[in-house]
Amino acid sequence: MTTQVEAELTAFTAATQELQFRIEQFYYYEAELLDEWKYHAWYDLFSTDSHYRLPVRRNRLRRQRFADEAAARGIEMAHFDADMKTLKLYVNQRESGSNWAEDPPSRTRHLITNVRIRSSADEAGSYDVRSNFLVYRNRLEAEVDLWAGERYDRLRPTDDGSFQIADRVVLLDQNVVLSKNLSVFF
Amino acid sequence: MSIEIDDLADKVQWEKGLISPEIFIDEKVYREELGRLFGRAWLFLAHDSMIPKPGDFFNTYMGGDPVIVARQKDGSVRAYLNACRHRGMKVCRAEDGNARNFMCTYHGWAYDISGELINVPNLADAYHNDLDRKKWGLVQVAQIDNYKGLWFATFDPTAPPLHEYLGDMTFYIDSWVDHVPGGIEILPGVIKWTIRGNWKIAAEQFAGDGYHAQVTHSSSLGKIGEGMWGKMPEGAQFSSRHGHGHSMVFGRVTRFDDDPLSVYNAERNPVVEERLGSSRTNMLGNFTVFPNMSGLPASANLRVWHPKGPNTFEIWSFTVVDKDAPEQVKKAQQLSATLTEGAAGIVELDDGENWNLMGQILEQGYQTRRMDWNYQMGLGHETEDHETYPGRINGTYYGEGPQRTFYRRWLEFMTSEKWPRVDAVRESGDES
Ligand code: FES
Ligand SMILES: [Fe+2]
Repeated sequence: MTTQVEAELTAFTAATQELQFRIEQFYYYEAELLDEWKYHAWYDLFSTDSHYRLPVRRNRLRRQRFADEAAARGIEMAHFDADMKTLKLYVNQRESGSNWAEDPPSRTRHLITNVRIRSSADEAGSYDVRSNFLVYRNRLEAEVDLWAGERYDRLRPTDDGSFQIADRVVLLDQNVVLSKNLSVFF
Repeated sequence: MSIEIDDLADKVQWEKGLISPEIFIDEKVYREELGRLFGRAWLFLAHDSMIPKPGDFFNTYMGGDPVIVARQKDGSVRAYLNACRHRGMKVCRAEDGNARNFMCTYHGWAYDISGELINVPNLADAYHNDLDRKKWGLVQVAQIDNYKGLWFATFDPTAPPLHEYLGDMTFYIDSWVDHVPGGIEILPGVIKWTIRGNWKIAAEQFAGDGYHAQVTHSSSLGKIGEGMWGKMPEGAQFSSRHGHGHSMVFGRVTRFDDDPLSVYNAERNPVVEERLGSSRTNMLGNFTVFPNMSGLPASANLRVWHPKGPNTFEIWSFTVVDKDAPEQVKKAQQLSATLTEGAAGIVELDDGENWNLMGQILEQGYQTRRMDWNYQMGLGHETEDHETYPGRINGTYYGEGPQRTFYRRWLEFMTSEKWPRVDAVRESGDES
């Protein structure tokens, strides 16, 4: 039997290699903006119809767990659940000069790996991309936080050969958030 | 350095507005607190709507101890320690769900949803049937009761009834649980996060500290209409002799004025006014139900401060909506509360910065532990007999009367051998 693994691997061509390269470069650029506190420039990577969501991860029995943890589950509290008008409020706050949680700013490193690209079944010409992240935060004298997780993106190609983030769901690998806040973006 | 119980009255001079920060960091105080305070006080567990069906359970904590609260077959609610009677292993590791029974994953003792021990592997051949299963059920709380759907429990059989414990606080609780005929429900999804600080810092803040918002939250509340440096909003503060506190301002009970929620609330106002009167319509602010349940009516927010050590606590944050509100109103409430509250909330994230650094200073310091903190705002400016509001009332939104009352009650729990009944404490004249 041709395994699913083989099918996925043989699907790679020179074209997909190039796409892989371009999308990874896009993510590295995005990480650079976040790590250099250029929040407005980061915000501009999103399309105006985009949505940014970071659901709560639940501890449930295997038989009662959610089949797809990234899928929306109706009205449910989340860490972030923002359209672009709302995301703008977060970004403005970071640059307000009185957002004490990030002033002085934290030092962060966004490490992005495991980039997996599929043509989007829901939006022709766009890509559904999953990537993993490890974010390190060092703050003030000796504070350290580490966050790992996965991002589910819809990337929409732009005319200039780059991409827009048309949707993002972040799965943060923590149930009780272990830090004093989530004043970073993933 | 360790504090003895007998020294606590010197550390908590509430009537002078002087509190020693040693009560926020001392390991011995913390250990005593788990028994004397959390082992006796009525503690909030869950709301009815979180466990609607038989077998529904929610895993929480009472002080340091894990507790399962579960809906029974007859519709009643029970709460018991989530700790196996054999070796103390957790019998349920899911945070919520539905179960017929809980099997301990160490050796397989199994308990039904009421907490009774129903199965012991090798009962006949290893125990020779010499084990009375009836005696080895999960440890039940001593008393459990609800106030309008809010379930509370205590581990002390001598604690007075819940209604008496809540006392004059019910007048204020009604403003957010009984303001509409259909009552409230809690939205799915509990936001939980961790602060390296002492839980009392958060509880006292929600009881009475409207003062911090203009500065701590200037980058958020300042942007959505409430913040104005140096200008105190009109309002009042309530302190309960039972340790509860409520700081109230009046105005828009929603964060935003252009969403379905604010439209709904404006239309709802006449109903609220008829049920509760104008004195409790559009009431917002912050409150603490002694010792560790707090909330923000304007954000429809309810939370518990779970102690995790002298210098660590977790915030478990819930969002409240009117049960009969239309779906789009509930959605708007969810979106609004997600934006402002929680670990990532634009309002709340600046609190974490303060509380963590205060905790770090106490953890590392010696001189900083010896420095009394000032709780003197509004001292001597409260009245016991307000014409509208029960309890002890301060006529301004800023003040530290609720905080002083919180620590007065805390001290009573910490220093009395018996359950510190308010009337008994009063009669003996032993108020310090
Ligand atoms: S600890 Fe639970 S069965 Fe042994
Ligand atoms: Fe605050």
